[in-house]
Amino acid sequence: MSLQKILLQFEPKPENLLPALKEIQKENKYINRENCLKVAKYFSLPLAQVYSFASFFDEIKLKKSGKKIIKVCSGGPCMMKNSTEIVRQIELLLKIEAENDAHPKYKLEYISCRGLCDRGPIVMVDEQVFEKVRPEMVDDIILNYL
Amino acid sequence: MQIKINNKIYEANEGETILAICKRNEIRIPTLCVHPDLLPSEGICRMCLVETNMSKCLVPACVQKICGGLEVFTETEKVNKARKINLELLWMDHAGKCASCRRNGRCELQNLAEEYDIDEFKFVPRRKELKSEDELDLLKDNWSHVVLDEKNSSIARDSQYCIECRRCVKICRDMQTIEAYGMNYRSSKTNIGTPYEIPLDCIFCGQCSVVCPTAAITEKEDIEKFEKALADPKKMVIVQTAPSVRFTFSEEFGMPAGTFWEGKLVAALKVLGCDKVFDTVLGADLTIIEEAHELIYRVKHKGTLPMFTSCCPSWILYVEKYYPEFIPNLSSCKSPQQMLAPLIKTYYAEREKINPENIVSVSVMPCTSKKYEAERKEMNASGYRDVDVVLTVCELARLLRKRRIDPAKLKEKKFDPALGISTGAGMLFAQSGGVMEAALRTAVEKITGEELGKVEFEMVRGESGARCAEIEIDDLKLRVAVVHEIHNARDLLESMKKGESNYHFIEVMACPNGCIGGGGQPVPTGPAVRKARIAGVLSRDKGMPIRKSHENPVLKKIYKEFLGHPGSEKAEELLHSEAGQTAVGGG
Repeated sequence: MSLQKILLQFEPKPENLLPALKEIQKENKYINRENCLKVAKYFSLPLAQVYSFASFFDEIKLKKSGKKIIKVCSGGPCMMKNSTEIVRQIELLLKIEAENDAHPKYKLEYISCRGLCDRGPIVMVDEQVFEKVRPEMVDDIILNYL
Repeated sequence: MQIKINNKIYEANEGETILAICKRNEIRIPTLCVHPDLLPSEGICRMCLVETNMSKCLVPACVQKICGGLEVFTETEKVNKARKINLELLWMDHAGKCASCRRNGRCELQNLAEEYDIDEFKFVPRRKELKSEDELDLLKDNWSHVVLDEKNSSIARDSQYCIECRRCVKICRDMQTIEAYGMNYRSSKTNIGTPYEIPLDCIFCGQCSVVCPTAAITEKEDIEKFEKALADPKKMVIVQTAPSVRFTFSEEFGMPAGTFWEGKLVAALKVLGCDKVFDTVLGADLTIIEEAHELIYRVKHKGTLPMFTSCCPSWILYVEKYYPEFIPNLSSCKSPQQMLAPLIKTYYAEREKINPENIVSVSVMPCTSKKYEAERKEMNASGYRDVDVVLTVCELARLLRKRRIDPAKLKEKKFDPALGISTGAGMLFAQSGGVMEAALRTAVEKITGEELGKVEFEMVRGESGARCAEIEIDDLKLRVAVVHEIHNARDLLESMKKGESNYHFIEVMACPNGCIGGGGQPVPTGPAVRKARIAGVLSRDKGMPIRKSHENPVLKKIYKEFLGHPGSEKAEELLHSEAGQTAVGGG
């Protein structure tokens, strides 16, 4: 779907900005500068405002990245259930460092709370969500889904 | 309503904040995000915390509205402890390289750190004191979001100094309506910057650098270029100083706002080793004569009206970027800086038999945008770059301090007379409304052919954002408007688009109160400081022997010997920008 078509589904009101950005991201994987400019124009907002709004959310990507992204929740409840150990396991397995862009294929990221605290710790591979992950499950998840 | 602050009773009005009352009664409360040009405050820096009898926790004085029976304590132990911790956390995020910092001694954070006796390394260990690798990560994380922006000619950004007070975001949004900056990312990664980290794409007015409490946003430094020129024995360094610089320069050396320091400024420049010091006021007089000529021509020959002044490069850039349909309305005259500069490299060089190649033309300006203007491609009327180096007031003062020169101790000197005789009209360029008043003094005399009895045009003076007046000249009713700050200018342009306003002549300055509040002026500023500066300008104009631009004896001579008459071919070539270029006008 073209950008214009996606935008036309939404009324140009500030509250529709996030849904519109999400929809665009579904199509294009990330939101580039030209698209962001078009969005800003459609919503009659300054580019800086749209960008600072979009960059607030971890969900919205503003940079191109062809990498598999593994996300681990860094919220308090997940941390309590030992999500740091999971991060360490993934780091060891894939030989990457959390929040580091260096690896050409994978990136490990911390994310903020998903609201699934009772089912933590949460690990996400792209859009796939894994609940109640234990350190010994890491190998399985990574090898099956990457 | 009455409230109690520190056990004393003060009068207060409903809806006021605690901070406003304290400010009025001179009770000191430290703040880093509140600025008199940026009201209302949003309570960001948490430095203004105070204790009240109404709540258990501390409240920020800048957003807390008062109510009956409120008791405020501004200096309790709890308050001071909280402020100190906040300050230490801010300091942790800050580069803290004070000795090499451009704002050293003028930094609001540094001043507060001194006041609260801050332990600089409480939260972040020094490199050599690292105990484990975790601490190194902490250190790395701290500097991970450094954006250095030196890709434009006017404004330098360095986010290691940034304390995220958001003053720049607010002034760009509310006063100038450009919105170049935004708050990007969140929590510990929060970073003030441009979208997609593109180089700054704005009008370079530099208001963000004026309000910045630290050195995160400053003018782009050209001191090195200037020093290199001074050190080169083959080069002749010719300096011109803007009208407003003489009224604000003194503030950098501890004098009260509005102190007139023309002689000392010239003396300081001579001590630095400048060969000649000329006066941009002469360029301003020249601008007035050419602009008045153009205005009269446009009014008589039904040209494009209203005519906008073109002295402010930020304003020119604003029209070019956001309202290109109004480009024909801009006066084709160049700004005073760009009028005097080609004269130096042509008229003066010819007269003194100097090879213009060996002249380094430097200008001391109140403005960051002038740096950009000097680099515009059409600004080479003399066959060379008209202005080689532009320094702001802050930069010049910094250089003087670096060289341990104190202008207060120097004996006053006069401008070099070849291009250094000025008039009161040109002096008025320093403030908003000045170009208008100066132009009217000349235009009215030119149209009526009679001498003006009273030279003051009080209707265009004042501090409000948009002022208009109607002046009767013979049978012509000249409608003029004076606007400063871009948000006012935008309102005017919008109303013009709708056909709601019809003026003949409009003066626009991008900065508050004109050049007096410019982006390169000393900090701190605010409405009160600018008012004092304006008072200085007006009293100086009153005391000038010549108060009309066209009576300037040097200019008369230049027109006779060199330019011919206003609007002549030579004047057109040197003093106006060619029409049809993308960059018409040129501030």
